[in-house]
Amino acid sequence: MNNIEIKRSTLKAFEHMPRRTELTEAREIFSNSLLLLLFILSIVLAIGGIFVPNVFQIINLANVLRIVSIVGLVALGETLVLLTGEIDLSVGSIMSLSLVVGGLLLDHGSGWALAVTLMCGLLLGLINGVAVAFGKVPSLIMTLGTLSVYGGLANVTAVGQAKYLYGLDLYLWTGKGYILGMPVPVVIFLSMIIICFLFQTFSKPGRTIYYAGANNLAAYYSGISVEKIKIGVFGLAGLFAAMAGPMYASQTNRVTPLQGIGFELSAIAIAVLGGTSIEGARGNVIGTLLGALIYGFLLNILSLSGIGTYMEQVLKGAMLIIIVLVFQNILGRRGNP
Amino acid sequence: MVKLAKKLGVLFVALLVMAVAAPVQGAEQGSKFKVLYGELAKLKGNEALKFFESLPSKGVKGPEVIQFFIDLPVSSANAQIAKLFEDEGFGFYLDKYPRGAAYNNFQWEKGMGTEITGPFSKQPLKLPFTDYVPLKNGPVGDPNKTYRIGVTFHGFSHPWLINWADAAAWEAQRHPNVKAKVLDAEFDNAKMAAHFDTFIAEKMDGILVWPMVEAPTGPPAQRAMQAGIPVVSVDRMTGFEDVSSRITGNFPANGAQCGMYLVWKLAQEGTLNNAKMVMLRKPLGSTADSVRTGHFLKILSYFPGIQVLKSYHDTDNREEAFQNAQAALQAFPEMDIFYGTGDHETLAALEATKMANRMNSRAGGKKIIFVSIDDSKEALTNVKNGDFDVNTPYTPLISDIGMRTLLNIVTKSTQMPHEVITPNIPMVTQKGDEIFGLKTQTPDEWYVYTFGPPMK
Repeated sequence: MNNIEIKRSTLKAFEHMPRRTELTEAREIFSNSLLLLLFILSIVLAIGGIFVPNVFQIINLANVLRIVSIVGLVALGETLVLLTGEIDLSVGSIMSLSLVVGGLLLDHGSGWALAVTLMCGLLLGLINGVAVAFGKVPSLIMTLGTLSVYGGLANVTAVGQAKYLYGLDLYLWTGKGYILGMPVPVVIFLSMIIICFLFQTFSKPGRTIYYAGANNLAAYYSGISVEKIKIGVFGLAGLFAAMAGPMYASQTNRVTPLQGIGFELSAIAIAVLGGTSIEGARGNVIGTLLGALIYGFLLNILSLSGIGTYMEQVLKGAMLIIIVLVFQNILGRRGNP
Repeated sequence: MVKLAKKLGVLFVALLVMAVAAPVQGAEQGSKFKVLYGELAKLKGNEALKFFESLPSKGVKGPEVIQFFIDLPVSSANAQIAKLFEDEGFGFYLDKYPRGAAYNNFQWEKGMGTEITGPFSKQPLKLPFTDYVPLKNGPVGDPNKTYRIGVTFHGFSHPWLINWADAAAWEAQRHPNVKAKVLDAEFDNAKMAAHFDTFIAEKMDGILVWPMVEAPTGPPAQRAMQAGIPVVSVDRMTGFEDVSSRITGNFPANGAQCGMYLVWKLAQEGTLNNAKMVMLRKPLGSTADSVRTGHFLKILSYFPGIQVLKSYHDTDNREEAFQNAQAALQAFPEMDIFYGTGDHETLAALEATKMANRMNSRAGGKKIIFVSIDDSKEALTNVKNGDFDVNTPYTPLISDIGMRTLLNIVTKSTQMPHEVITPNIPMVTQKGDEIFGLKTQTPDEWYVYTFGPPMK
């Protein structure tokens, strides 16, 4: 073949190749899910800035970031569990029970109350983990059960009574205080995000969380202790839920057995919004951070927009569905972690 | 025999006089108010204020003042509030909710009541109305029969409601042949319906109920009545009106007194012609929200200078109310008043306001006005320290009235009316004031009757 014939045959070959459309290019740009999340976040903020300018006031930003951090902390624990292919529906009840158990020690000072709250959360999470890992109880069933057991125990322990936090400065500081001008919950949440990110990315045990989620059997045959990983992530989920509890309770100056209700749904929603797959092995904690910001600002904009409490509920759910639908379709079925 | 006949005759005449006098008294009061409402109809703003201030000179004093404001018609002077009143159908709720004189014209006085330890909460409580619809200690009805009473309510986890259950259980325990089975429906209407069906299957002698919302409790209550089991509701109402008896709470007095106080307070400040308010409310459609807010707005409707910035609703949840309050503070840089239909709402508003450093953010550095309902110890402590401007009590400690009413019905010992009205309780202000002829209580005077855990 001479050069002209080679060029002609090559051109003919190219003619049969699929054309690059704008959609294909968009998919490539957004195949990085974090970029996509940043894009969604910027759209949400832009819409907020146009229609609800108050959203960028310092006090509002502090309020939003505070509540985002509290819910985000619970979602962080949920993310770790989801990455292993499991699910934890009991994080809300863990928060409630830990708060109430810690609340029994409020008379002895904030320090003891907070310490016991954290230990209780860790222990409750570990119980879930052991049952799932060694008892082989499906996590959906186990944590559905503990959602009820832990929640019931919170009510039994509290006997319907709130415990007030007036005068407990350290306890109140966890939710209302500031460190270097930033709300304490924000500092704690970001710290946990950084620690978990470094752990996931640069440590061998951190990476094994993905292997366990991708294929339990393959991970086992590779010498990975899947049971230990699962116990660990459930323990962390319990710990993070317990960590979020005092920050949340201090907003309203009291500890009650009902404060954790609904957190499990928000946590799962944020984790999925942040790109974590319920099937396991896909997602990361930075995605959860961005998901929490999107979720928090969305709620805040709806709240400030004056559309009414009940319509807010409708729109909140609808927007969540739309965002995740768009997200999943752009990334495709098996997107990038 | 002759002496006995004379005594019976005197008794008959006394009963006849009472039977005639009560409605006549009510009718006299009604017609006196009607004349006053006629004079008030065309007044608004400062003129309406002067009219309210002149009530004592027109012969309306003391507890009558509360009734005057409860029965006050809505005005069209404030177009926004009048429209809100119509759009949300408050008139329907207000007309439906029972009002009137207390059973046997009972008058409550400070100091009345009984101190107890709550059987469930273990808290020290003082039930204010143990002398109302009185029933002696000991067996009721047939002493050889055990009367089984089913009690269904929501919320051992709720401080108001657990005290509600305390009062009902305490009353049952006073009578050795009464066994009360108390079940918590945990804010799930389907569970409450199941409780009713369980009580019907167990052939209980009577059912006492605290219904969270009206509509879903109607059919179960109807089924119980059709099964021949008397049903008595306390505080909120079921969706079935023909229950045996309804112990009604203070909702009308709560809302009316909130309105009275706010008008009085704004007038004192000189801001009655320009005041902006945010309302933090309970679930839409709940009796508590509708009746309180409706009576509140009726009074404000005479004052065109009062503006409602927005209403927020929550599910009786302080954390939700807190977020609503934060949103309100962000959305409305100029705001004068937070009105909460429950203590949760106003307590949440107070916390949000403090966190936003907005306590004294009104023009001239004035404090935001906090109008609260429900007399938790926490709320009254905030009145005492000056953070709350007013609290209108709504005690949960009225279920003992319900239990006594039910026992009278079940044992057929006394004919009970369909409506047993809880006596109105005067509002609480920090120093005790006189508002349009009504003397308010101080926090110390009412604290012993409050509900919820003690403050430290």
